[in-house]
Amino acid sequence: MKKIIIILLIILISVFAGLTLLDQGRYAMEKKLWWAQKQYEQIARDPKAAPDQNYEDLVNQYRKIANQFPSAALTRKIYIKIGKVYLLKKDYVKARAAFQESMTRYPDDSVLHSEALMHMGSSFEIEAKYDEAKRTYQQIIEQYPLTDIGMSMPMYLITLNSKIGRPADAEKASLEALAFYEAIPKKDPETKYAFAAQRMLAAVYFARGDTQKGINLLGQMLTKYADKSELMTPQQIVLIVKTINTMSVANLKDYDTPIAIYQDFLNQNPRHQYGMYLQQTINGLKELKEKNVGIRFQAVPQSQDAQR
Amino acid sequence: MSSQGKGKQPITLIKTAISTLFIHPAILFPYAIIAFYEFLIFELLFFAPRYPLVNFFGPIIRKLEGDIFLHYPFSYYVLAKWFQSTLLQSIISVVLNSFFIGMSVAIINAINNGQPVVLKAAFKRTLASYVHLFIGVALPVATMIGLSQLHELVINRALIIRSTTGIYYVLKQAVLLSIPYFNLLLAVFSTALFIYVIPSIIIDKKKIFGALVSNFKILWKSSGFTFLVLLLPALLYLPVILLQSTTSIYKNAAPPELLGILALVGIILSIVIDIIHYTTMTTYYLLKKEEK
Repeated sequence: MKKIIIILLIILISVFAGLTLLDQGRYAMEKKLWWAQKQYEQIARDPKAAPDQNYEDLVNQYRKIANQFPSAALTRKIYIKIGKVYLLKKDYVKARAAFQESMTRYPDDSVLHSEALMHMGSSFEIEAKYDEAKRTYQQIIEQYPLTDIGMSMPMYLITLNSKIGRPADAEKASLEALAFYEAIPKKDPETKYAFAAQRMLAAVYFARGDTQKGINLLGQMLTKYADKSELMTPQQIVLIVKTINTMSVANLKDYDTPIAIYQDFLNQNPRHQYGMYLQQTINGLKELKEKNVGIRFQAVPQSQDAQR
Repeated sequence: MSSQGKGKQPITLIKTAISTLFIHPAILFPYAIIAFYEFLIFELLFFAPRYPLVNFFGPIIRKLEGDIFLHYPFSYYVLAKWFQSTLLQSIISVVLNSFFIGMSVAIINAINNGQPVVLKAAFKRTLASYVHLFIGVALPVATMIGLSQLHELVINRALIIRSTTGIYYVLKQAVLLSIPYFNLLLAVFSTALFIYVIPSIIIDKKKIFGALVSNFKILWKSSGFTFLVLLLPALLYLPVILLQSTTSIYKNAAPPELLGILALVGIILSIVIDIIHYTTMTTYYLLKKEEK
């Protein structure tokens, strides 16, 4: 009996040891990164109260993880994390050096580069070095236009120039943003880049006060991407419908344009999965129009079956 | 082991059963095997999000729980959830535990009859009645699941109470806060309802229907006593329930590993409770038999 129990124990220990040895380290790295992130959050709660040693310890910890797991996918982000630690410490030179290091170490990762440059730009912004910040953001637009960050940068430059009180620069940035966002759908029509660019283009129209143009563009997007469920996700359709309703009803007191947009969509796509949602939106808008009160939105149904 | 008069005192009976375990540790052997495969399953689930097991478990976890649950620390939620899931533990209980609990009862019976403990003989005896044991354990498991479904109806009703003060609010809170404790009571009740089935199958070599008749005969005469004897050891599980139901309070301070540790401690305690339950009730069954 004792022999059997010992054998069972040996099996349990061997399985544990074997699986531990076979593990390639990804999980161990995630664990170390998670604990480092916890430390980062603790420092971020009150950066002034944290002693310098804590910052250095955290940076060393990140470097140790990077050295321990050099080929892991997550390692690419570590230098960005180190830069963010220095941002918290207000050591902007070291922060930018860390962001630069991430670009030097991974020269072919455009998403990582765009992120590193964005953080570099924001470090200049914190220091009120706006020209350097704008140059960095411009670099993202030129070198990495087809990344999420690259796509958002032209619009951000308008906001930044307005925020720092440079209306002429904001106007120039908005014209450049229009050109940027208009060019992408022409070059890559009906792709995710075209979809994102058109959404941003509508935002630029709104920022320029060209509300009607923005609403019409969003309406066209609804019809144009009706069959592209990978782009027109429930979240996207809610965002577009809410934007159309807010800009049209709240800003222009115009109930008819959104109703016409949705009706047009339903006429062209009578059995569309979001048909019921749009019909309910039309009914709601008609009711609001009669009562002449504010806007009410309903949640978009998640399941296609719910529509039928 | 047999002695008159110990019958109707729950604490005395439990003490007798525990001292029997110390005197005859052979009774624990089948439970050691139960602990072995429970730990083995725990190990496999623990390593499920890592290489090489992730090749098999990865797509399942991704489909059932989401991609994030393949990564630290969220993998611990899957470990705790899957390991303690009613489905997994019910299958283990019905398919495997039924056999090994039956084997422990056979060992107790051999000791009570003054025979030497021969594992092979206990194994053979249990194997001969496996089908009946399977049904004998499936019944309390099914009862527990059925009662849980009824309990869920009550919970769902409580959830739609919108009052934030007054008697309805108190009722809602009472129902919601007592969920894990009530589940423990339901588990004890379901076990108590069929507790003499396994001793009856193994000791008296009865088939499932005969065992059920014997079970309800004994239960009819001593239902309160049986419930109390089963409830007392089950209280050992209370600290785990308390810690598991209050994770939201300390989750930021405690390491994520605590979820896994609690699941493991929970299963160890379940085995300990089963040992006390079946040893005590088998002792009681034998005492009743001798009284006749």
